Amino acid sequence: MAKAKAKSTRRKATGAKSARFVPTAHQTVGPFFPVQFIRPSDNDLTGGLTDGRPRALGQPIMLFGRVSDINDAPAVNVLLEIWQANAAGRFNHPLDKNSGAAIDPNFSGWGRTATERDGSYRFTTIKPGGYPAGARSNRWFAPRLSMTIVGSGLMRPLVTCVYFPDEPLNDEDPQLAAIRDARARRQLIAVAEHHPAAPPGLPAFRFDLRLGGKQATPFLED
Amino acid sequence: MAKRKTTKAFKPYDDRSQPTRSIKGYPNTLRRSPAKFYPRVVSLADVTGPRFTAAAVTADDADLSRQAPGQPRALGQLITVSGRVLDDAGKPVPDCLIEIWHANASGKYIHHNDPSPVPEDRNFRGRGRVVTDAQGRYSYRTVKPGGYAVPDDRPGDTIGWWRPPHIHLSLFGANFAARLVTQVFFPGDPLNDADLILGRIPDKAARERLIARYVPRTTSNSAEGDAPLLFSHDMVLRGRFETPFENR
Ligand SMILES: [Fe+2]
Repeated sequence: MAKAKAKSTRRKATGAKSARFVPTAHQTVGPFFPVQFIRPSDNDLTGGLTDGRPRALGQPIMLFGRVSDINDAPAVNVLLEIWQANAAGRFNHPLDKNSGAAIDPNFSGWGRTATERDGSYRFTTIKPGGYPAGARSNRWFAPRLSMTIVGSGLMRPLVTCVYFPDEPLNDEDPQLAAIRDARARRQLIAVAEHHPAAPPGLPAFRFDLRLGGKQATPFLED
Repeated sequence: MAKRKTTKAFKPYDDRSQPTRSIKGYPNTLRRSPAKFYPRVVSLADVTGPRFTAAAVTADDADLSRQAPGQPRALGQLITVSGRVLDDAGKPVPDCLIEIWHANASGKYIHHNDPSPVPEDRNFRGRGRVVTDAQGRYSYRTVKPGGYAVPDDRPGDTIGWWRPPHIHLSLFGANFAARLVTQVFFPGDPLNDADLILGRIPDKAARERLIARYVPRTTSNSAEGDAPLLFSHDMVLRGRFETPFENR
């Protein structure tokens, strides 16, 4: 009885039944996301290269690619968001308590851009450092970016990771190891490739995304 | 004490309370629809995320119904939508940035991609941003959007249905894995039941949770001269990570 009463009080206090705490359903972002919500500096995480912000520490890189649909047609007006650790492998967030790696006050770790008419996108960022899998673990995640993709027709955001070629940590990365298919694993590794807009000396990496079909990018369970 | 967090730091979404990815009659869902998903190993990258505070927005950002304070209002029914953002344990999510956008009262977006011939409204701001307070509360003012005929996606694609009035919402919660992009609908609209987008959430209760609740006027909430119609809408983000993931 007491238990039932406590439960009903809690229901009353929160004003609804317990089903209320099921995560809210996603819906497509649609084709009309305000352009003002994508600021010109949002695809430059380094600062300094496109405006006068203080420059983040580490190796600036360009990440670019093309997003295409199931028929390999350009996927236009698709929103890409990235989140990553800084050059030292530390996330700019209080839950990352890895005091062995310093926070860079000039690096937020987050960026956003939308694909152009030809499906292309481009970020300038800092090459992330690897980071520990956990305090009790001696495994490491390789340098990587997390990416969320939303767009018209995507009813739920897609999530994937971008890795870098020739990284020793790739071989022991827990996420790559969880993907048993070698071809899919390779698809998550960007390719070093020149980009005409990259200033001399700026390493550039290509990461194309295919949103469906046999060549689809490996997306992760959400 | 040696109990270890596994790599599953959050619950996968329940497919019944989420929309199907492919929707017959909405061609872009068929063209942009991976058939296969790979296991996700949760790491610090998922439990951390970009942070926003109230400093990221201004008071003007909470009013979509006019271009700036003192400017004329857009045409349409003035409304206020308020509510809370909670995590899946029912705890408030503070400092959650919510991006808001929707069509004007005629059903026209402020966007170069909207081919609709219905009237624009130069006084309509059409977009807003708010950040939740310490109790997870938010509020914004706008005009009630109109429904609109879904534009044909490409020549030859006839989609042909009407979208019910809705407001688009994009939320950044406490972590990258909690990112939510959703829409909110209005109670009692006959188009709600026919909408291909709302309607493809299998669970009825989950669909109903996307419909705002009308809040009757009381003496305490009708004090303003231009008192808007009030709606209430709570949202729930996945994940709670008070216990840092295998890390300290
Ligand atoms: Fe819409």
